[in-house]
Amino acid sequence: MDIRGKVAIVGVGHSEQGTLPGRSPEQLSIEAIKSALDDAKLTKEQLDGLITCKSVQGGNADVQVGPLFGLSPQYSQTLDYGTCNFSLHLAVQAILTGMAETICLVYGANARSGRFNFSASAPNLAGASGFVHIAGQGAMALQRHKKKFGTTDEQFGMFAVSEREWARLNPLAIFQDPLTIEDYLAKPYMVEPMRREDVTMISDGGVALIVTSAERAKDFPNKPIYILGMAEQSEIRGDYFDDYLMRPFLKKSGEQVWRNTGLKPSDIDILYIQDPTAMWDLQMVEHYGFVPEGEGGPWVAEGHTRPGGSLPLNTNGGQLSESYMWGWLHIVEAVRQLRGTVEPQRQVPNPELAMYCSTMTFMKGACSIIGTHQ
Amino acid sequence: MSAPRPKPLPDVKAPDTAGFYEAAKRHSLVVQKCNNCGEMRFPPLPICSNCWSSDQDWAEIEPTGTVWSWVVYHRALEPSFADEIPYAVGRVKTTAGPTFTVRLNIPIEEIEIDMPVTATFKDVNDEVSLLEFSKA
Repeated sequence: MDIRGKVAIVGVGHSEQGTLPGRSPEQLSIEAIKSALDDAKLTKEQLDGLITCKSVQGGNADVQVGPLFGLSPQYSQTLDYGTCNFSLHLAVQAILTGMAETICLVYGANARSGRFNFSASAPNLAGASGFVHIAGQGAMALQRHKKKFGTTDEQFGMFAVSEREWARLNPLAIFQDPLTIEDYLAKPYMVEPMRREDVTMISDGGVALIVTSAERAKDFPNKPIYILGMAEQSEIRGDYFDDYLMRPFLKKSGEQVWRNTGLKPSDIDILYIQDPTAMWDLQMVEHYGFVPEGEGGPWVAEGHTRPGGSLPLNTNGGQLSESYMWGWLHIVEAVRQLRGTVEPQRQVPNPELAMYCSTMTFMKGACSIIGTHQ
Repeated sequence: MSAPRPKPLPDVKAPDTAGFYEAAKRHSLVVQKCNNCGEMRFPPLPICSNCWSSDQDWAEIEPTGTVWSWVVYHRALEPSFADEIPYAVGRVKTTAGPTFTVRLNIPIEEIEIDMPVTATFKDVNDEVSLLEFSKA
């Protein structure tokens, strides 16, 4: 089935980001929904679908958001780990099969003020060995990448540096302090070979999107941003597969999306990658074919992902510098860039195609290509 | 002064993994082996992921392997390990096949990917012995 241009994003919104004590994930979801409805000039009664994404610390299922939402839409679902990509794909499927016409997708979390423990150790051998926190897995993959391909700290650090450069152009971004590659290299390792700057922050907030059919999209005030391609690939065997930390399965997600759309990586104007650690950036620029495998280090060191570069990456500052919203703010930023409505200092000139790549830990990958034309 | 926070320990009595920790007490490295198709795995599963047979036993394997990758914790992300910082954790591919992500009892400056290692065990208390890997 060709899905190209049949569904569009017509509204985006979010709550404040940062430390927001006293607000539940569900309440932050409603704040984000209200913001997205305002953007689309819709009322909640005009939605016939709701897809919530469970919060990183639990909660935010549709049946938990429902009482605050105050309506029962025809179509309601929850994804455990939407990362916005899986959520968007489900919305496209629901709209194209007639299950719903105008769907709100939402994420909310209060992991920061709720003091969610990201270093919780499992009662198993790895936990007892002190192998805790996502930085451990990210660093394990980076160490192997360095050995196999000669990637250096000077090269890898450019992901964190370029995301910070973008964040400094984004008033919403939480981390705004200047970060040069010299600053980066002077920082201590947290989990060697990864530094604190390579790892996401923890933050509170909510993010929402409004998605509808292309026919209806023309009735909305905003320039519709069309879904042009989408693909997923699982590796749900997890760590029973030796190389799971390197995530080679993501190549298959890339192969699908390029084949289905007839597009190629060089067609993409702006790239977004969900980045719990900067290692995800390195893996996905390689596995999705933006650079040959093993060449991500030298490539990023050339400055392509920075403001003014040939492939702007995470122009919001990403999860390393903007906020930790499981990738949801990435696609909000992509929509605003394609509309041409971000603050002028970080607007990429006339972008037409953006791509968003995300993963559910080491077990699933998803990507979407969105654009200004059907 | 409050008492030091206890370090996390594996649940050595859990039915699916008890056999592994009983062998670890004897400083023996075992993995789960399917009696139907011969597949070997760790962590254990209730059935074989290859042939779905539930006929399986613990099998002792050669305590040898190579370092697939490794990291060094310079910050005690789990606070109870603060007194051990910096410590190294490696993902080790055993000669028999299964991989283990555990401590490397090797000076940090000597650790390298692909280096040969051998299983050793650290006796934590009367019940718990933890697998580590040391220089072969």
